[in-house]
Amino acid sequence: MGTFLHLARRLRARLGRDRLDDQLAAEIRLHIELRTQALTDDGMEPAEAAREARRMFGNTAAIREVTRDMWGFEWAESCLQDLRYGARQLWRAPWFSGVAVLSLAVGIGAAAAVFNVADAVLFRELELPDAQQLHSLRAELRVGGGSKQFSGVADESFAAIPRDAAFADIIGFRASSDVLLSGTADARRLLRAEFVSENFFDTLEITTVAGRTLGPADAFAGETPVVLSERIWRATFNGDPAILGRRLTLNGAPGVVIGVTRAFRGLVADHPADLFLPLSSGTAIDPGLSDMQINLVTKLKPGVSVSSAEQQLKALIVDSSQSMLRGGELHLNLISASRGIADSRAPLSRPLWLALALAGVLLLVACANTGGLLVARFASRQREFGVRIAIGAGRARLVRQLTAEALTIAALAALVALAVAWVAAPVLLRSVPIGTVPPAFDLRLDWRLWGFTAAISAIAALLAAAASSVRLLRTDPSRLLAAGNRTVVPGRRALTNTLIAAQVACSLVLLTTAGAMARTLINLAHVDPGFDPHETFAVRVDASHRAVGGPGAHEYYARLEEQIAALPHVERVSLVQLGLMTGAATSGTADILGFVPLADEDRWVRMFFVGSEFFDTTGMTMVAGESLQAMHMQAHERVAVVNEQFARFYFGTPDRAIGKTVNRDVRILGVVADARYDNLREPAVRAMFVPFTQAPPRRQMTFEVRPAESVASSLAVDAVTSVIRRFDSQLNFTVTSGTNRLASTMARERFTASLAAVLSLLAVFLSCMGLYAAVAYAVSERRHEFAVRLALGATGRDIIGEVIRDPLRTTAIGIAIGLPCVYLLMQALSSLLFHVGSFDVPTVCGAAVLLLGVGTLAGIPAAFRVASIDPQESLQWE
Amino acid sequence: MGRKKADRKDLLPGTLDMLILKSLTRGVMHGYGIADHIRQLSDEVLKVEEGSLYPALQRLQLQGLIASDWGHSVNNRRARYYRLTPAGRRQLGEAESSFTRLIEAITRVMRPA
Repeated sequence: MGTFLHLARRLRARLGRDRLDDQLAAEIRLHIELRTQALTDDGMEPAEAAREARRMFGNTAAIREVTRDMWGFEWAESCLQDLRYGARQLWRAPWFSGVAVLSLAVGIGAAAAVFNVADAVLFRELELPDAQQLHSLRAELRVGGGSKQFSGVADESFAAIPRDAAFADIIGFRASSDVLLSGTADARRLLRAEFVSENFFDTLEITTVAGRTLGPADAFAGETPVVLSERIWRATFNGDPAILGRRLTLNGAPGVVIGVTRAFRGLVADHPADLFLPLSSGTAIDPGLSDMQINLVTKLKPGVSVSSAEQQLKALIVDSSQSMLRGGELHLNLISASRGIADSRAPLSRPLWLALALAGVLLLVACANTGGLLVARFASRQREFGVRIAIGAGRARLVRQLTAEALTIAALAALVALAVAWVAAPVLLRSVPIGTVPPAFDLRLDWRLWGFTAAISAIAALLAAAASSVRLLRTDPSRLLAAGNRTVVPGRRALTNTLIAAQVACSLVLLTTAGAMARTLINLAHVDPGFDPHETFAVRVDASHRAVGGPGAHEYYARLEEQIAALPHVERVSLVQLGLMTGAATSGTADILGFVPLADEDRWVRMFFVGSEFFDTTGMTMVAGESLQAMHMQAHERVAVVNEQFARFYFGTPDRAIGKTVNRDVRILGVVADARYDNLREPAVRAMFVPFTQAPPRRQMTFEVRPAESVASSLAVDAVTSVIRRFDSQLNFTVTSGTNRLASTMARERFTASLAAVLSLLAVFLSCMGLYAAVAYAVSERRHEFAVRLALGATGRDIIGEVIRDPLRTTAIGIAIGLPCVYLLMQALSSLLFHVGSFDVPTVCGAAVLLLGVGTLAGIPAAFRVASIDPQESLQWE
Repeated sequence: MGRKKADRKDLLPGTLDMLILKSLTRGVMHGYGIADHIRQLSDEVLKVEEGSLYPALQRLQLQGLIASDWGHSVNNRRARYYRLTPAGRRQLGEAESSFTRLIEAITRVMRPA
């Protein structure tokens, strides 16, 4: 309290400082007069008394100044003074300031954009109380020879699991992206809905902006109660205050709005939800959901450990899901869901950390660049600083001045950078296709981004100011004063060159990364996938709306396949389950008479359920025996075609596999060439191709379609889709081209490559600018020296050579410094590289040559300027 | 600006503040009066550089230990009169006791062996 009052008094004194100043002057006058009077009364001469009184008083000016400093907050005011002065100086040199701000903005902007994406994907937690307690289920069931992953349970099991268990509250939800909103004045829209259990909102403690949330009483009957998310309320319904009680039509079913959540957008982080509906209404609105499990999320009660919760949950699931488990072995983990559930997070994690590192390197380049500019500017202000030191400024104060100027530049750069980040971050996120739908993480310009930008701007400013501050502190002030602005203060070149070498080193790192990734992509492009991804497109159909089961399903698909095959646009078509390069796979086991497996893995094979035209459609060639024919589809005999890997592993050579039996009654018809089924990196695995009629019917099937020779694929796609719609108007389908599927298997590599390319271009540009500026300054400073040397007989060539050698030498030093860093980075990148060694000599050499070229280029304008020095004229100027 | 210069006399730090507070227990005084008081009572030993009183007075005022009002002096001149506040009285008590302890300790050390 005492301190607070003290500060308050100081503040008040600050406000009335001038008046207090006058009062003090009056007091001092009075004091001296009284002393003079007293001395005169004692017998001194009046004139001498006056002098003596003043002497006894002391240094009036100093006293007044010391007192004045007590009024207000001296350090704060002098800081403000520094900032104002710095701003004026920057305003007076617009080119310099502009270049400095822009180069720093480049570095800060890139870092801010990457941070924004990384924050949204990796770091940001759900804005719910006790989000730490949320855990989602990840389980694996091992039965027979295969294993199945799942993160939820079936309807019946969920009904049997208690919501309020001893160790946690258990909530469940299903999500659908196919909910069509109609019946409003706005256009029809496809929304994403989360169907949630009755304890969902209470357990998560979600607050509302309007109305209420779903509770146990909201069973599905007649009109479905709907809770909107705040975002959709503002966007589609324009924040209508009368939203409660509004009627909607969702996929044709009636619903009524009962509430709007505050900011909450569901538990799935990469696909934010627009609506929340009761779990029980799920299948009525989206029949496809009945095939999907209910995702389980637990909110652990306080004091319960994760491992104990896992055990208890496992017991609950085993009790409630006997039929699903079928005597298999269940392994269960609870993973943290405090940042929401996102399947796309794991594959994005490594590329994003790498992106942060690369952006950090670019930031270093920008700092070094701005630092170099500041050093150059300091050199032209030597006199000013010399004078200030001479009249009593402390070094600390001047360093503060330099830092204040750097902070001003950084603050302006931060504003520009935020604008850049706002534009660049969504582009960055969209450029990472994981699967067919880009993840829709929530990018926001929130306080975390502001805070991060402010922090790195401050650090950048300090780094940039450090160089010129070091210069200031190490130079003798008298030299500063005497130097004027013409002579080079020795040592300045070394400092500038160090900064430039640092920039070159960082640029080398970025360039090498870009080069290595480019080579990786090229290498991947040269891998033979074993089939023709570019010639086909895939249509994935979802027949969930039909009752599934029995041979009727096979006929249904077979008829559709026939109709598509009949199109003139289509050369060949074939069913396949699961499709190629989708990231999903079906496994089975192969038991062969006479083959003794050494380990369990030896029995596992990939299974494909295919139509008769599959190999011709996709371009896989037979190696031995015969292929599947139409007759095999209908026949009762169980047959299969295997690939080379399979044949070699179990039988030795492809020929020996023909006619042999697998799994007791499956006859091998032939052997097909190997292919890379999932991505271009992994070599082929053992695979078995079985007619789809000899496998259990599925709800989703894929048609691989090869368009006819002369037909454009878009026409073929249109033709196929209209056939499908005519065949069954309720059938949902998606079309992806083989090229896109192939590209998405290389998504991480492409993302890293393009990011590294952009960042390295920026870095090279900044380094070039830095080099050019340094050389230009050096030449303009040494004009006098060059003129003298020319007059004394040096040839123009000598001097030009010297001018060009300098930046080249600095570049070479920078490259040398950068090499160990390159090695380290390549190690970190190794999982992304393909057939590229961790010290890839061609790439490094290419990058080095490019940088040396840039160094030479930077020197050329300066060389021209040197050539134009007329010794007579320059010397006359002295 | 420069740092606060240490007092160039041999006064122990903080003593000047204590002397001022003590002087004000005699009553309300203006700056010259305090300086005069100290000189006379100390028999000319403590020749405080008179100007250094004023920053000390400001400091004490900002700390809330003394307060000031403008009034008229003996010969009708406008002068600023300082007085002790309750907080100042308390502070003086503490300063006095710690000062006394200090002097006693020094005396004990300096006693002839």
